[in-house]
Amino acid sequence: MKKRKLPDHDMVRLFAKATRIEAPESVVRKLRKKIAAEGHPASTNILRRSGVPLLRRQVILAVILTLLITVPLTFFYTRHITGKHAPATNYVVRFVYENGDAHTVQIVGDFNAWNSEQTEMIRIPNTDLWTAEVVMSEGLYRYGFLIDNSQWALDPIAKINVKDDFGKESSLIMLLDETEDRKNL
Amino acid sequence: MKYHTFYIFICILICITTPLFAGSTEKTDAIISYTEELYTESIDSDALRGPVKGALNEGISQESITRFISANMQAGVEIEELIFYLENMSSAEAEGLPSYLVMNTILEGIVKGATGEEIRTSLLTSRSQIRFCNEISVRHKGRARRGTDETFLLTTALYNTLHMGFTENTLEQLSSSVLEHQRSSIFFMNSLEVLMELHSLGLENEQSGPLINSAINMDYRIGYIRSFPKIFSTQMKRGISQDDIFASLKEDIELSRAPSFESGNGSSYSGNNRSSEGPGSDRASPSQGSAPSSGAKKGNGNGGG
Repeated sequence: MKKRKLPDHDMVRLFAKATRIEAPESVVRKLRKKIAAEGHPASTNILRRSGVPLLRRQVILAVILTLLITVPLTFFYTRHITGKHAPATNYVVRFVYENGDAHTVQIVGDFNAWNSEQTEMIRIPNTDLWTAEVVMSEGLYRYGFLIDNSQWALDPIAKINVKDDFGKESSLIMLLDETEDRKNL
Repeated sequence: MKYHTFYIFICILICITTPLFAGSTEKTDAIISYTEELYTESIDSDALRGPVKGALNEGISQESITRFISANMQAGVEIEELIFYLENMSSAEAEGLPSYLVMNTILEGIVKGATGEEIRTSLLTSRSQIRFCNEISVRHKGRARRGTDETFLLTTALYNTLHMGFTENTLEQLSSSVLEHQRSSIFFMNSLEVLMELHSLGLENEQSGPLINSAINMDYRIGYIRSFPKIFSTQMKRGISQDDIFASLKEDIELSRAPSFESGNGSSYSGNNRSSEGPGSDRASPSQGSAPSSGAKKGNGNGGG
């Protein structure tokens, strides 16, 4: 009996089905041989891909598509965090303020979100000096002293005092790490 | 086959994106419940939810928002006012401007006892100032430093300089000179610091701006420029007029030489200071010129302070 040559698209379908139902390896091999021998031009692609099982191919494709969408999304939603991972240089700054009449002195500024309860200054015993240590990262910070929770005072020894929008002033501290920029300065 | 791929893709997409969106809602809920706890009287949580979520979505950190709300609570700020502030911060962030400058302006106003109306007015003017400062900073292409963005630092420095009465024109000129002479952002920030110090010494902005500009144009190093405040303070103590000091420094700059005045400790500034670190540049790094009541020590650094 003369063997009938199947049309090209039928051969493709048959081969795809064999792969999908995970037919025995011997059947797949036989089909592969037949396709190669009869030279079905449209089957070349499917032969080439047939090395990877269909389900695995679908998963790989789905994962790639998902990554293509989620990676930019993740960057978008975490854009405020990215780029700030490197540890900042921290400085420990000791503030000293002289006032003999005050009962409490607090230091408030950009570095503690202007929170008067955050940095209480301690009076050095038997002196009129108040002191506090603040940890700050590189930056420019406005600050001032709050005396007895009501009176605003500038740092008398600050080199820079900046006007605010409310008719008062704040002292300014500038902490810049120049170690990397020495050559350009 | 195509349907299978599509279904798997949708499933994975949902699995990955759900926590992302849920995270944002969770943060909003956390802030809202925190606010409800802080406010003694009942508040309209739904009205606050939108602005808080908006601020989070714009990239303002949960910590900053919580701190901001907390400060407002302590000061007894009305909830409507708080919503207005939050929306203002979000819109600044959406515009690509640093919202912390807006936030700090509000908090500074609250601590100094400014009224809601005064704060609102200041936000209007400060927004255009921040926009201008940001535009200039972006031109300088500051690189990311250890944990800090140089552009943000420069924006803050420019913003403070503007608050000292320096005109936008002066800052534009300085910026152009710095760019023209291929100086770094940190050089620009140091120049601004000197400008602010000169202002705090009581010098005229109209004179100090052009003085620094000409020093930059003559390619002087920052060590030279940093010596200006010291020269002014010592010479003024000796009774020499500001105008005379300005004239002398200008002459020195034009003749490309170091300041001819003697410094307070008796050592004289001499020699060309353009190509090497000059006597005025012996200040320790980090810049601690404006931390007078303090010793600024560098820490080991792990995260922001």
